[in-house]
Amino acid sequence: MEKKKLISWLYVIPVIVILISLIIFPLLYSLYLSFTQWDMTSFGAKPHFIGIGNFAQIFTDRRFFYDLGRTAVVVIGALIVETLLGFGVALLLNRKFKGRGILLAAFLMPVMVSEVTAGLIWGLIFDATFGPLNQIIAILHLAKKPIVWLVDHPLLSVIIADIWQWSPFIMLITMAGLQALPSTPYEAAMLDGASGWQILKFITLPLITPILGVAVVLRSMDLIKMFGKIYMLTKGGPGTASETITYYIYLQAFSFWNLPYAAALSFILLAIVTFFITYFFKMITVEE
Amino acid sequence: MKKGKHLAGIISIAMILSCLATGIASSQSYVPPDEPPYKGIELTVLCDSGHNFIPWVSKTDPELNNVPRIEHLLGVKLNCVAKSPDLFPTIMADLVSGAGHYNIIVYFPPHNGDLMGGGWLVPLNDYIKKYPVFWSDIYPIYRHLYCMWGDKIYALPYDGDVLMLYYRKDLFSDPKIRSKFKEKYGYDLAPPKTYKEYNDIARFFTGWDWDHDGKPNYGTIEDVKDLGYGPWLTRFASTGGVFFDENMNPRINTPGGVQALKDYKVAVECAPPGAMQFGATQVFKSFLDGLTAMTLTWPDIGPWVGTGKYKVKPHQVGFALVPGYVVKGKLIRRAWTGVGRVMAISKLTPPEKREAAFRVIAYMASPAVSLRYVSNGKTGEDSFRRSHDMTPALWHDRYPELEDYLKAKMLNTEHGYPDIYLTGEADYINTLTTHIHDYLRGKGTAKEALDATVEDWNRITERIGREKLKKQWAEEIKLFKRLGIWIEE
Repeated sequence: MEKKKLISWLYVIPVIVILISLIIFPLLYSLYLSFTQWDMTSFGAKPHFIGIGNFAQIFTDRRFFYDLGRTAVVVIGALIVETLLGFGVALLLNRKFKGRGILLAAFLMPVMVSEVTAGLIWGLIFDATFGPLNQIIAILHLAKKPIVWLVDHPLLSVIIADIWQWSPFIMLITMAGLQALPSTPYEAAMLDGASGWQILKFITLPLITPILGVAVVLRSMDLIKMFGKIYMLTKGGPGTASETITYYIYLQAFSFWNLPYAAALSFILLAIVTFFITYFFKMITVEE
Repeated sequence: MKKGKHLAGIISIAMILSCLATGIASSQSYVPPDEPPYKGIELTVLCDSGHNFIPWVSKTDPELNNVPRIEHLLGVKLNCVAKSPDLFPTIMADLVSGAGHYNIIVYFPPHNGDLMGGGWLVPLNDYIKKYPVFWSDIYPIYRHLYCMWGDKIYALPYDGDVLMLYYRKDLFSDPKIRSKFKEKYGYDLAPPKTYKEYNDIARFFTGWDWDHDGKPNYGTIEDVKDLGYGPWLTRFASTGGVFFDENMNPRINTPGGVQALKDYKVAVECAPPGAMQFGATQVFKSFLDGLTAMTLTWPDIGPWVGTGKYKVKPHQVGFALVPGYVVKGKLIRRAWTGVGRVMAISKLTPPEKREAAFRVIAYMASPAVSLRYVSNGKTGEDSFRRSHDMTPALWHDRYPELEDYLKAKMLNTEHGYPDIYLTGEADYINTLTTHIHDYLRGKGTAKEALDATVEDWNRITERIGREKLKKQWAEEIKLFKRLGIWIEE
């Protein structure tokens, strides 16, 4: 018995070590840092306790609030389009037809590339002089002069790049959900002579909502912490036009070397995200 | 005249050779190959990647491949690491964490406030006494503001950046264009001396096809994307402006600062579409591909045009001192010496390795070795020694107009104006750049942009510590006064 216990601990200990060293310790250390001030650029300097000073500073930091607003724009804008697009394509592909497999694989390809690669690709696509997007717009006579996407519409450019990359993810989750739905309600509806729209509205949507809800939560968390695309496309610029809260935290931590303030910002962001996700799940549960 | 030029060149070469000979005789800077003094010492060099890494390791050009030569001469083993932009986070992470992985760091001098001021680098004064580095040959502005902090030397130069004015000589001398310009503006077309003239010329050349290729051309182009504050700074400096007063109160939102920002916006409006997303190399290419009539940018254009690879050829390019403003009846012209690169030794390098590290950077900064890479259009390095600019005959990419380029380079360097070299520089500059970019994109007025910057700068100063920064700034003011940059209000 003792030996069995020891063996089971041996299996669990590596995971505990990883959990503590990579998640729990950094979390607790960040929390400690958020209550300190630390002149990290001075040799030999140590952090010293300043209480809630960093948190108080956040509430007078205009840049934080503007970045929060821009983050909300990115999350809501990208999420709406990704959900509609992903759900729509899932409905279309949720049937057997020739070439379905190839089409599915083609739709899923953007998800396979890294965020940095996606940023690089779209940086080329959005190029005002040589980018294919402006070339297509010129051929179709949709604009009188080249659109400088990354200067005049930096936030929209980031959103477009993200929609291209992650709509297939919503599509994938929705398709898995659709295929797991029971067939009985559909059979009954067809017997009753329900139209396609009525089946979608009264059967498919209510049944798929919890699954879509999970996809939306996962995507919104990813959108809030999006960094690679912004870094590759715009670096938060021009000015702060495409700077989100995550990019600002990166700047505070690794450009300005103000780790305690970056830690405080991270915890405030964590609190905001936790609140919204809890509220969102409550909403879905109430609707059910 | 020609004889005089040749004589000057011969004298310059003779000076360099005699310096080298004296150096070899009186010091051990150049050690005979059979006595490498630092055998068994391994050093790691960190430098930014791309064409700035080439002077260390070049697989295609043996003349630029300095690492094997250093290893042969000194006996050290060099590991060279190239990093993409955002070198500063890599350096700080290595230092703050105590890892000390990098012994020699090649970085941008604007970070001097954090690296030198933070005490992260090894002072080099004692090593320089033992192994001369031809210190007075380095331009004063690079010597004092790139390499020193207080009275200690912490770095040796690697890349001497300064903004220069380049213009299309052929267009400026075209009779039809000259007549058209005079008719419109009432004065002769010539390299601009003031920013008013610069903007007039930029506007004049914008929006019409002066090179007859069927596409419109533009007046000018400057690096707005990567170093968006630099073109404003070079204008602001020419109004006699300074960043702070003696008490660290920001002094950038003066009428001069506001005018500089407004004039900067005019220049951006006279640039090709999408110019706000052009980095430095795209700026060079835009000018060298004949898209713009002028550019205010780095010295790289000189070596680049000398390669003959571009549409615009050397005989078509004029080189001049940057424009300025008339202040209290005097024309002030200041060229921003921002960015640049220096080589320093990390304080985390074990003491027994430091002399070897110094010998490595001294080798790379030595007159003959550095001339090889600053005169080669393949690298991103620009001249930082007087001897570089006085020896056109020894340049890698030679062309008839090279002397004109080098004279203009010297002139601009002698009118140089530095970055903010204080702790927290990244924060100050990021804030300034974001407000400038917002204004250039049409958000608010120039005064509002600079007032907002001043507000943010005060917050940064309080966070870092006003008294600490006042002391640092006081040292900078001494250097500014020594270089003739500080203008009393």
